[in-house]
Amino acid sequence: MIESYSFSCQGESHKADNKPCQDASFHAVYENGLAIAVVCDGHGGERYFRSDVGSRMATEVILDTVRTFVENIDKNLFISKPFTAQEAITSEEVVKKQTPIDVAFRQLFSSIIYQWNQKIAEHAANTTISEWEQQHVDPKYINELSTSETFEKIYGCTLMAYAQTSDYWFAFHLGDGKCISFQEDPLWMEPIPWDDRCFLNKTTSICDSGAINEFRYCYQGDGHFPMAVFLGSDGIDDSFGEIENLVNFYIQVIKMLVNDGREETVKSIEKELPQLSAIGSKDDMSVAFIYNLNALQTHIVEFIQYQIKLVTDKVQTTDKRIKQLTQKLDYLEDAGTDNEKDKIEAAYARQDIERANEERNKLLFKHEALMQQLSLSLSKELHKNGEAK
Amino acid sequence: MGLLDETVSVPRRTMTLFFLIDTSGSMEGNKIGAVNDAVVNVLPMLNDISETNPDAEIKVAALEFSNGVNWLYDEPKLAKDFIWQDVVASGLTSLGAACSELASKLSRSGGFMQSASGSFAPAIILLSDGGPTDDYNSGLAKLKANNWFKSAIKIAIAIGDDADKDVLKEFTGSSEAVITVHNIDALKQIIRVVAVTSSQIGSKSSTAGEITKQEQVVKDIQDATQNIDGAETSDSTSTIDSSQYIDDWG
Repeated sequence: MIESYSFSCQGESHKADNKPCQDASFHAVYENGLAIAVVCDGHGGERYFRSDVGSRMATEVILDTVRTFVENIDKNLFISKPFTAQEAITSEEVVKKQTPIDVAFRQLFSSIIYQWNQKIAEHAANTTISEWEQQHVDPKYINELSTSETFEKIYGCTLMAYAQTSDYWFAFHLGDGKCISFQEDPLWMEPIPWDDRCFLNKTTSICDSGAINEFRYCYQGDGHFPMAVFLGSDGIDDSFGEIENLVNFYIQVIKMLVNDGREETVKSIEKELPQLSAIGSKDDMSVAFIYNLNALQTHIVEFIQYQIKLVTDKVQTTDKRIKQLTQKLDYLEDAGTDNEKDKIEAAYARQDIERANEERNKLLFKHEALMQQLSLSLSKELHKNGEAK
Repeated sequence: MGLLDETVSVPRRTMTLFFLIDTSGSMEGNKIGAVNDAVVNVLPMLNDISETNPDAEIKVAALEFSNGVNWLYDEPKLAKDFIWQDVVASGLTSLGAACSELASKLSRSGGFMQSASGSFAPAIILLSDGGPTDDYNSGLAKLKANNWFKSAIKIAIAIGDDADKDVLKEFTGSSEAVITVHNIDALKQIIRVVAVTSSQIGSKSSTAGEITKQEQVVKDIQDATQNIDGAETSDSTSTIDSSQYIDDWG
């Protein structure tokens, strides 16, 4: 059974500035089998003072255009197609070599941009400057609303969507944030190619003049579907740093869905994402996901095993570091020089060994907790198999 | 089980502050002494910023360049842990080699940087009292192609009138980001102001308004420079006439 969920919350730094949440997200599973998840992230910065509206409108437009796309496209275009991913277009040569599916996607993206521009133009024409905007926005940016031909910057946002039907699935992305899919092999991946232009606080955007070429996408129609796909705004991945930490967090969500059910998971996400913003990126947070609960239940042991491997690898890396530091310290102590630099290096080595050991103990604690979870899951599985027999 | 339980890691975000220090022979004496003194004194301030900042922790790395290049430590250290080792001046000014070396460390593979998610752009402070004696163009070209460098806060301190300000301007990308100092006190004060301001702004999640962190740092430093006798910027609105100052390194 395919299910979906989405949630957006105001970032910690936006609370302090009294800024609205500039993210928007959406999820749905329709009777015709279409499941869709969307995350749009309005740009921060004074110039983008209506990006909360822009992201909401982008979400609405994506929903409309994707539904129309799925209703009208010949599904045979996708049938039997293996997993295929397309990067953002940086050369016109690539446009010339497009397949029928690429052409269809380009039409979809073109519709998204066109309809989004129409919606924001209408909003700009019909919405007076609010009290908040008068108080918080530099008049030069407010003036852009009526005078500039590039007023769409004011509504600028990134966008990311995943859609699946009973025959195929596809996902597309413009800007930063992360899309992670979980399947049998490899257990997780980023299915949509990354765009190197999205780096630190820089991102591509629907408000860029060449936005049509900045879409990246992927699709598959050979009968293989991900078990779950998570879309997260950059507020989430910035909180975790290394991508393995982000994947680990999504596995926590998966485990909770399987073990504690949807209601508890939703409660936990809505309580803990604002906390994550406070201790992590301080940014607005959005997550949207589609999942197949039966598939996740079947593979839950593999998710825990993956987490155990992650911790085991980290323990090994830490052990290697402790060994290197110990060798360095032994060398410096054996040399016994009065050299000030050597003394400082030796002090650092002692300190780093101490910290590495603390880190190692924390990892071993994690390892123990995960081993207990694995044991419990395996028992449940055995019990279930026994009952089935 | 909660989502953020003991098995989930939420590391603190990081900003790295780089000092690039010219330790050529012309820096010998009071100039290098002032640099050593100023950096030692600013480290506890950087630690205060790091400890009280909910957004990110600050790490420090230092590269000295003269005949060759040398990192004071082989990895960035937390500001609270960084023990300054006095640098000694002698030899030439291998700024090109320093740029190449910095470019190699502004990366994840074999470098000092972590994932861009969870990191802030670094802040880079270059101090020099002369002109490069090596092929700095190729080194600078490597650096300018580096994404971390492109995003970094970049400030240069020109120590005296003999510093090649055109080169420093090329390094930072603008003449406004080059501060010239003409005496020991000004040098010490400017190192403190530049290091503290870059760290304060660079390690914050957002900047005020639309201006970039680089612009904000430059603006704040220019404001502070007006109150430091013997320091000047290239800001066209500055009321200080550089001709008023004569180098005094006695």
